[in-house]
Amino acid sequence: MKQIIIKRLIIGLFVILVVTMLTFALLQLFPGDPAKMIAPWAGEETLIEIRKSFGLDSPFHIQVLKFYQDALKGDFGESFFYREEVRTLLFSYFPRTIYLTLGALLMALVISIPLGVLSALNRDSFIDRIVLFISITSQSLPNFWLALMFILFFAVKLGLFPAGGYGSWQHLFLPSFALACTLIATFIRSIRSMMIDVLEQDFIKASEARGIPRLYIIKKGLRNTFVPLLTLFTMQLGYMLGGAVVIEFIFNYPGIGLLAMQAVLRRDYPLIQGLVVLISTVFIILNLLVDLSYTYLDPRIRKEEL
Amino acid sequence: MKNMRTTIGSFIVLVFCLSLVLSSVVWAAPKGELKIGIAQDLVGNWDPTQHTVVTMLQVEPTYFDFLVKVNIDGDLEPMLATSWENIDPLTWEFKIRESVKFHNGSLLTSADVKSAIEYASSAKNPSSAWLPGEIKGKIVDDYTIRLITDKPAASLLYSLSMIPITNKEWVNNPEKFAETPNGTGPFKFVKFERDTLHLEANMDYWQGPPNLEKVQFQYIIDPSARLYLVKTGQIQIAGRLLSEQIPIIESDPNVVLEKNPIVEQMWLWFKCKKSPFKDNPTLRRAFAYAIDRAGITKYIMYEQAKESNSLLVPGVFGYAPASNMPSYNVEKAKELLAQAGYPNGQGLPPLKLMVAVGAWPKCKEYGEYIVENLQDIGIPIELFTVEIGRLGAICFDEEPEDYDLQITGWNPTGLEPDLFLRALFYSKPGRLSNIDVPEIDQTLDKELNILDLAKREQVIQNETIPTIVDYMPGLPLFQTVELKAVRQEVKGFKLLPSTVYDLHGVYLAD
Repeated sequence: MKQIIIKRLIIGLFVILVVTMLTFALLQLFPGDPAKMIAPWAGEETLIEIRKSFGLDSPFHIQVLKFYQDALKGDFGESFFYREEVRTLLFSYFPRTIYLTLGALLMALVISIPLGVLSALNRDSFIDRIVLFISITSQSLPNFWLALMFILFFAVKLGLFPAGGYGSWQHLFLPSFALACTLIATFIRSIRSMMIDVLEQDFIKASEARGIPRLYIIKKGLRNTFVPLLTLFTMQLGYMLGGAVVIEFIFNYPGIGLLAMQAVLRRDYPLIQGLVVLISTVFIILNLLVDLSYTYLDPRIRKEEL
Repeated sequence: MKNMRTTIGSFIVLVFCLSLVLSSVVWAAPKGELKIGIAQDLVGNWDPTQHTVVTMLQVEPTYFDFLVKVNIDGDLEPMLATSWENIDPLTWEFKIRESVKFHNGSLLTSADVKSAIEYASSAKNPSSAWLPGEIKGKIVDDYTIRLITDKPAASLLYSLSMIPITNKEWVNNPEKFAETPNGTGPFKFVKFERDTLHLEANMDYWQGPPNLEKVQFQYIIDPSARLYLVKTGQIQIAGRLLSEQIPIIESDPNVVLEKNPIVEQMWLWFKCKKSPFKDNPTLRRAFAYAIDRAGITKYIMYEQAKESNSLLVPGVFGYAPASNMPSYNVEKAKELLAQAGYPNGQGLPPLKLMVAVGAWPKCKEYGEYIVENLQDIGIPIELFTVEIGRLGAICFDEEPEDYDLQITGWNPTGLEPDLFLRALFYSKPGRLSNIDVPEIDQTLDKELNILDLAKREQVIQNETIPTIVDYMPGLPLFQTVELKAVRQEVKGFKLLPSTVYDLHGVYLAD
């Protein structure tokens, strides 16, 4: 087990190194002089000073090595625009996106598990069709449109929630809900099909024949959907972080999505770099955690690995 | 006796009522927080000499004061200078207001004015673009100063309405200045937290404390977000909204639409030091005739724009429609194109028009419209989009690799014509068109040196503007009409044509 973790960690570290190197190279390929973006009006003398102070005058390999050296100490440099440590910015923006994403996941699960199960239990019935209709509709509607509609209805018309910003759980509700909608569709359909598969298994039929209560059977069936659901859940995390950019933009929610967008628009290289390292690290750690959790949820996998 | 008692009683009641009224006037403490959603970000360098960024220019009057102020009618009013006179063609003497305190508590004297103006006019600082050259200050006494220009400068007074008066200690310490401003304005700088500027009331303000306790300028990138935040009352003012949003604003009884033409003009710039536009005003004029500017206003910008007819906009001193301004005429465009050596566009290299996405509303859309107009007469041109961050870095390049024409706006937040004409067309580095024509410099020098306002106006209208239009370094597309949504509870707010925020008299009704 330890070996697996170490192996995965080494691979993860290698992926981060490669991703960082690629981002560094891509940023270098961007046309335009970063020094001129910091001070467009500055004369050549000032520009030389700026390049020097940000280490932009060094050759590419020296810049990369210095970046790695500093990054190992947790130092990603200073944002060109905010003139603050990138680390400080990431620490203050990233938790907000975590809250948003977790809120969306929680909402998606709370809504989709009962609906998915209900649909599976009433296969091909009117209820099944209604649930599928909800699922298809929520998947077909783009989340930016849904976000705007939520603002119009829940914030402007009913005044139940703030139209944007950050500060309390109320600020989190509408963006999380908008982000959760597409997930709800995917989750409902996946849970439905997984439950149908499980319900057709012999052990469920045998349980039903033995007169075991329905609720217990559902519980058993659901337990069997955990592993595929977890895979789906992890795959959706990537979508969630991508979707968060749009949602944070519309709700003016100060998370890493909005920060990343503004960093790109402002050509804030150190911040872009820091964000890439953070996001890739989060992905790698999440994947590792999910792989490890399989072994606990499904003893067969643990056996295979051992 | 009874009458006497009634009279005394009435007098006491009157005195009591008067004292109540007076005390409420004298002791009305600032209250409430005004939150304003702005469309472009603040640069976070609080030294006003280090940028010409329009958002910074707009918020500076909340924490800085100026020697003079331009009122809503475009007339000059005393501010930190109580009076001024022209001693000789090169020297202006200003009487400085006494007992004015900076935010750090020190008293304003003519030494502060001298250091602030000399620092701002230094050619190495971007703010020098607003002034008619380097200015020397001569202190007469603590509250009298003379400002001396190299040449007679008619623009000086109006230009001074854009130069914040700062504390000399801050001027001597640029690093400290970059981090915090120290002015005499109605609000004090508290902090700049990422994208939000926090200000608080200056209780020692020389015109009396402002009505608002706090002010917040918050950068909100999306116009829909700005509008909905106003509608839900999370912010009170949202700027730079879109014409499509007008019905949404007007349908809300809690929000008022403020709609006003402002001094911002959008321009199509030709890179005049790069082939094929170099030394070819006929070609530039051919392009200008091919562009349907009325169409941009009619089909794309709707109520958000007014077609330009001069290099200046109405309200700016010297404005008058330019008689030689090209208007949409395809035949004339083709004729000039042939005269310029490129019949039907043949022989022209592939050209690129640069627009910055997200900088000005619908810039990309009318960029596409212009490209189509030009392609219609055979010009090989395509659109090249950049992000706002990159635009700032490359828009002043003399021979840019990536583009040949560009669309950018110009809003100096003032009403002095040289903030437009001299800042845009005088042959100095850092001009959007990079035009370098001695005849234009001469005509600009001529109008600047005329101190008689009537004569100056004549020269601007009949010589300066027509000369520049003939060379066509850039085509003014339209004047922006600013759309702001303001909540009903905000009282005393005026959307000024100069677009600067004057919040001293603004208050929030209960």
